[in-house]
Amino acid sequence: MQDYLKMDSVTAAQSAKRLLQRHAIRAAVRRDPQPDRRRGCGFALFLFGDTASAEELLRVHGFSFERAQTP
Amino acid sequence: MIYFDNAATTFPKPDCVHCAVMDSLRCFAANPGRAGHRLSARAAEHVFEARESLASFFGGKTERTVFMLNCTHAINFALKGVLRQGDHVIISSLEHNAVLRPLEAMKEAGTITFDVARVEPQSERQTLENVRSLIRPETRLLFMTHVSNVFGTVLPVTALSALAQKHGLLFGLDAAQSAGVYDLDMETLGLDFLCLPGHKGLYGPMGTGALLLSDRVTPRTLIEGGTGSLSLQRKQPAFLPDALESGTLNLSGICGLGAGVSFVRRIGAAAIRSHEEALIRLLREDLSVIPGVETFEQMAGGTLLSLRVAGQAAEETGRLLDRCGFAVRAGYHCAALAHTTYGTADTGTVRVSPSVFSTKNQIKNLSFSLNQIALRKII
Repeated sequence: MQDYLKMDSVTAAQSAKRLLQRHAIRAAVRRDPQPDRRRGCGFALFLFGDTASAEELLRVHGFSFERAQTP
Repeated sequence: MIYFDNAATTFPKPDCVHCAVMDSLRCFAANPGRAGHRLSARAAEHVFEARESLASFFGGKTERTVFMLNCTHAINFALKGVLRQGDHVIISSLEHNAVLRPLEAMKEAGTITFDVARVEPQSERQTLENVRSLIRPETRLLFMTHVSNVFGTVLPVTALSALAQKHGLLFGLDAAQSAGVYDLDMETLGLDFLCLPGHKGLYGPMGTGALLLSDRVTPRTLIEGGTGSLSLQRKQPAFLPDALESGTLNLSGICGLGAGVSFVRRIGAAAIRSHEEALIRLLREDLSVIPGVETFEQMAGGTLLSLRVAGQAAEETGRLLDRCGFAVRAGYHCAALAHTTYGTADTGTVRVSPSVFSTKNQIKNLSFSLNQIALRKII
C-alpha cells in the first residue's frame, strides 16, 4: 500500500508536482488508481520522502486534494 | 518569395518549432491528460510545460492559462463567457472584427450594449478622454486591442488599465499583434483577460492561441465535453483550465507554441521589437521620397506599416508586389473600424509586417519595387 493524493485536474497535479520539486520533494503524477464512483476519472500525486511536509506545503499554496491509499 | 505578412502569421517558423512539432508527432502523440499510460503522461507533461512557459512569460497563473485555437477563439470565450444581460462595454476605434463582431452579435441578441471610443493617433490624452467620456454606470468591461493590426498604432494600455481600475471595470486586451513583441504582464497591466494567438509573434503553429485570466474572472463555458476529469459527472468541471478546454488538445501545436515562446525568450521581445521597428523606420524613410506613396503614422514606434499608392487600389498594389516576389497583405484587414478612423475606408491599405527573420536588404528591395509600381513601370 502507498499513500497518494487525489486531485481533480491533471494541471493541478502537475502544478503541485512542480511546487514540490522546487522544495526538493519528489512526486509523480499518475491517473487515480481508485477513481471515485460518483466523480469518475481523476489524477493522483504520489509523494516520495517527507509526505507530511509535502501536504502542508500544498495546503499553504491552496491546492485541494484528498489523501488515499493504493489497494 | 520575401514574406512581409507576419501580422497575419509569422513565416518562416524557427527550427526549434519545427522540431518540437515533429517530435511530438513522432514520439509521444498520445492524448494528453486522458489515459494513464506513459505516452499520455508524457504528452500531458509537454502540454503542462508549454502552459507554464506561457503563463510565466505573460505574468499569469499556470492554471488560469487556457489553450485556445487562436486569438479570435480566446476573445469570444472572454466576451461571451463573462458579459451578462445589461452590461455595457467600451472598445477602441481600431478593433479587429474578432472583437467587433462578437459584441455586435451580443448587441443584436439584446444582451449588451457597447460604444466605440475614437483613438486619436497623435494624442494619447485625447484617446483616454474619449474612453472616459463613454463610461456609464452599467459599463462593466473595457476591451481594447493593444496594437492595431492595420496601422501598428499602440494603445496607451497602462493608462487605460488605470482608468479601468479607477472605475472598477474589467480590463481585457486583444494582444494579436503584440504578444511576443511588446512587454505584456498580466499583473503589471492589471489585465483580467489577455487574448493571444500562438502563431504570430510567438512563432508557434497556426491553430494555437491562449486566454489568460486574472483571479477576478472565470468565464462561463461556451462548449462542454470531455476533459479527462470528473468524468462521471454530468456537469462540466468548474476548475480551470478544464472548464474551458473540452475535447482533445492540439498537442503538436501546443508543443510548437512552447518552443516558440522559448525562442522569443532567448532573443527577447524587446530585441525583436527593436529589430522590427528599425526595419519599419527604414521603410518609411525610403518611401517618404517616392512620390505617390502614402504611409500612415503611428503614435509611437510601430512594427508594421500601412501604405497606399496614389490612384491604385490596395489589392492591385498587393498583386503587383506579389509579382515582384513580395508577400504582403492588401485590403481591409478585417478591421472596418480602423479604416474609418484613419480615413482609408475607400481604398484599403497595403500592410507590410516584418518579423525577426526579415532583413534590411529585403526592405530595400521592397522600397525599390514600390517605387517602380508608383512610377507605373510594373503593371
